[in-house]
Amino acid sequence: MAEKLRIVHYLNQFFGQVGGEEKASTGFLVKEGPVGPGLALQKELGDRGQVVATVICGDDTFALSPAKNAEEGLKLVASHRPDLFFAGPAFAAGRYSIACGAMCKAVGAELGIPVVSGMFEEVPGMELYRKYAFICKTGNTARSMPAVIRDMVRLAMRLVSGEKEMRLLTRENLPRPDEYNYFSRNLLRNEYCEKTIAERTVEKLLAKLRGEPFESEVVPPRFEKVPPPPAVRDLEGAEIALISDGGLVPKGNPDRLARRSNLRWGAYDIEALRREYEVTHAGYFNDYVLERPDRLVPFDVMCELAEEGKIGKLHPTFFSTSGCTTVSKRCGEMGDEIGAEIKKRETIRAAILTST
Amino acid sequence: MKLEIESIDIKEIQSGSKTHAQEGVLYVNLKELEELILKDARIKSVDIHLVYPGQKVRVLNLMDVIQPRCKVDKVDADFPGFIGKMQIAGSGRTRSLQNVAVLVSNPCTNRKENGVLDMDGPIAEMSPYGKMNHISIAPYVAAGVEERDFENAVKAAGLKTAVYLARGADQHPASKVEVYDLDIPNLDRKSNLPRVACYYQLYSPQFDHLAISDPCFYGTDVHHLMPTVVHPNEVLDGGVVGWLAIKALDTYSIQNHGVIKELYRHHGKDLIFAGVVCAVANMEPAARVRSACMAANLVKNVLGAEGVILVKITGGMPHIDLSMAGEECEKLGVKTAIFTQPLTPVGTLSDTILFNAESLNLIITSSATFERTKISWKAEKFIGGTAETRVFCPDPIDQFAGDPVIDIEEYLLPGVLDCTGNSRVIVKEY
Amino acid sequence: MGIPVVQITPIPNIALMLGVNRIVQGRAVPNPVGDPSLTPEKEKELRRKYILRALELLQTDVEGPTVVTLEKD
Repeated sequence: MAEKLRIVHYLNQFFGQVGGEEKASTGFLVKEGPVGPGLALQKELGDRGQVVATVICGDDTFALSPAKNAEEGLKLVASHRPDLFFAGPAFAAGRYSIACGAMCKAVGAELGIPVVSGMFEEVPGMELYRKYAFICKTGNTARSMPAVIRDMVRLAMRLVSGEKEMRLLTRENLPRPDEYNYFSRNLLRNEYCEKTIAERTVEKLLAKLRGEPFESEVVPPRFEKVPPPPAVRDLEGAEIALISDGGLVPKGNPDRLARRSNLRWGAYDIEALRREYEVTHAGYFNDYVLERPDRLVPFDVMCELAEEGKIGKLHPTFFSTSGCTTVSKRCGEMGDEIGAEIKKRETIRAAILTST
Repeated sequence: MKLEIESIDIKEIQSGSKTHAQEGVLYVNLKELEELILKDARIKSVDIHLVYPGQKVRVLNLMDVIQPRCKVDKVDADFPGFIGKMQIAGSGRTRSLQNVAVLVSNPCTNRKENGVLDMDGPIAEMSPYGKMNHISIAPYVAAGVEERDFENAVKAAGLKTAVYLARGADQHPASKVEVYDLDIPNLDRKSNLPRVACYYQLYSPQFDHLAISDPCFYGTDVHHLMPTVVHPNEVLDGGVVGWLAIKALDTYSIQNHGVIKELYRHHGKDLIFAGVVCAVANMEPAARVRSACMAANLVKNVLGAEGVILVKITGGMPHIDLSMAGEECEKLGVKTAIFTQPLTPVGTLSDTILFNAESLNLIITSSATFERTKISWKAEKFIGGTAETRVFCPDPIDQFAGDPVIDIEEYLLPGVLDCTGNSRVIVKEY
Repeated sequence: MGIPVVQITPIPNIALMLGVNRIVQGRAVPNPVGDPSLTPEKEKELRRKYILRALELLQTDVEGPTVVTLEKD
């Protein structure tokens, strides 16, 4: 490395040597150079980098509003033009873990530099922020600080090197979680493997047939059941909304729903949609629906039933998403968001969801 | 049924006045090949190129990749039902050329999702085809020929080319002979070895272009295929071909079917290969249930298998047919190993699975099929298309073959991922 | 959230697995409440049947994930 890396380190009031619990309400302050565990960090880095500044904030202050505080902290971090950012490690400290995670997320997103922290598995900051940072696994006390610092620096150096991970088909700069001791970041990747899929399959099936132990490559989830809402009693007076995941959108796809692995949904006026529409979904043959969208979203029948008085009213907005290979967690979130929107509108009594 | 495949190692390809193979070099009379292809009136003209590893060439609009093979001891028996007379594939002797393939492009295609192969750079590194020599054909449609009809003509031209090349090498000595000998009616019933069958899901109609299924089984489409018992040699020897599009599958992969070859490798040593049940993914729920029941019955009560490997075709919907068949097999006491294809780059492995029956406790990841990768590489020459040919991306963006970086899903890169189980790929959580 | 939803889907297995409580088995993947092989009038009649079945299920109390088809419960 020709130039020394510029590093900024985030710490809480305790590790930042401002004070203990009684100082948890201090606001942001910046100290020049490394402080507390930052000294160990600097020693581990050696000539490769310089901790130019340490940004400190009280855990209580930060926890009051993590997003706002992360923004403020980000400005302080950015002013030092870092190549690399470390937060904590927070070990098992709950509020501290959230501060570290939020700072990492903000810095990573805005500055595009590697952001590294360290946390114990059970802290809230881990689950909330594992996707946005590289969080090394730690024990639940600060006794393992030297080992954790070593892990964090090793991981950071690997990230900063821009080295491609050749075992990935995508050849991204993405080191393996088990090799660098960090919490997986909710990503799935194709990785090269010594054995072919067929070889692994026959080998494991033979073990299963012989009654020997075998390891499945995937363990299916158990989904939690939702208690069913009570039935609709007065259908003749009820306003019903239509929802679909078949990808029916207004012509031009204004909300840019994707044909595959889509993450968005839209709310559209039914009358306008019926006049000009398109389908954005790569998982089924779209032409039948393009010819007659009622085949996916039964506008015609619902209007008829409303006229006949069998239902009270068809809600004039149609809620649409495209459900081709979207991961179930995001589908659940979209369901929550659509549900919240439906509740907000107050008049909707029930919904019909049509799927391909 | 016994099949012998004699392999000829080809190290180089060149154009020549006579199509023949000598000392590892395959000489191709390009004019003669062109005339052969143009016998089909649906084809107006055809571009033929010899393509080598390391060339800065991007091959576009790929519909298939085919290994050159021909029947040695039979006449008009190649790819029966497709270009050869209908008869059962899988017995006698077949000649196969190694290290060379036929690249079939359809430059007139209206399909949006078409295969791309670079002979240098990242794609060549990822795909076994990036290291082989190729004869690339790109036919153009004659006036008044309907789209699907032309697609069939292009496919047929590819198959004929594959046969023509293998025939031309008849004077060259073979470097090895592989024997696929499985006498299913007379399998050793007293053996202690477990009997294992392969449930081979060979199609899904959800992607059908213009709502017409691709013919891929003895020349016919399999949209409504009821579960069918076949001999594994029929799959290896030209009874089954790839779709009219690359979707993590091509004819070359089927000719070298990963799971079938692996079961043959273990046959007589660790297991008895009991046979193959072919089935398809269904769009109607009743057909799905019917297919699952019938397939499980064939596996258990006709093939007498104790174990079954359920091989999956590309797509989300096929997980359901596969898992329903798997559950029915387990209900009958047949132990299953089932494929799954995680279809999103985000989530955990558990998140992506579309079934969770407790009996399906051995699940193998058969690659993240739609994984996107950025290919940073510039071609100097384009075959089967031009620099302005669109490259498919699921996001509503525009990208073209001539762009310095393309964002492409791996299932469109032939040979990188393979539904038959040949890929040395596993899906891991990062 | 307390808003009853009925899902019409040609792949009821996934809905059942996820814990959807009210499920009507749809026609086919590319046309869950349609059938291009029928005339437009017959197709609309069929669509009505699906919707009426869905509305029926909305008016029924259920204990957990329940699938109904057009033919019978």
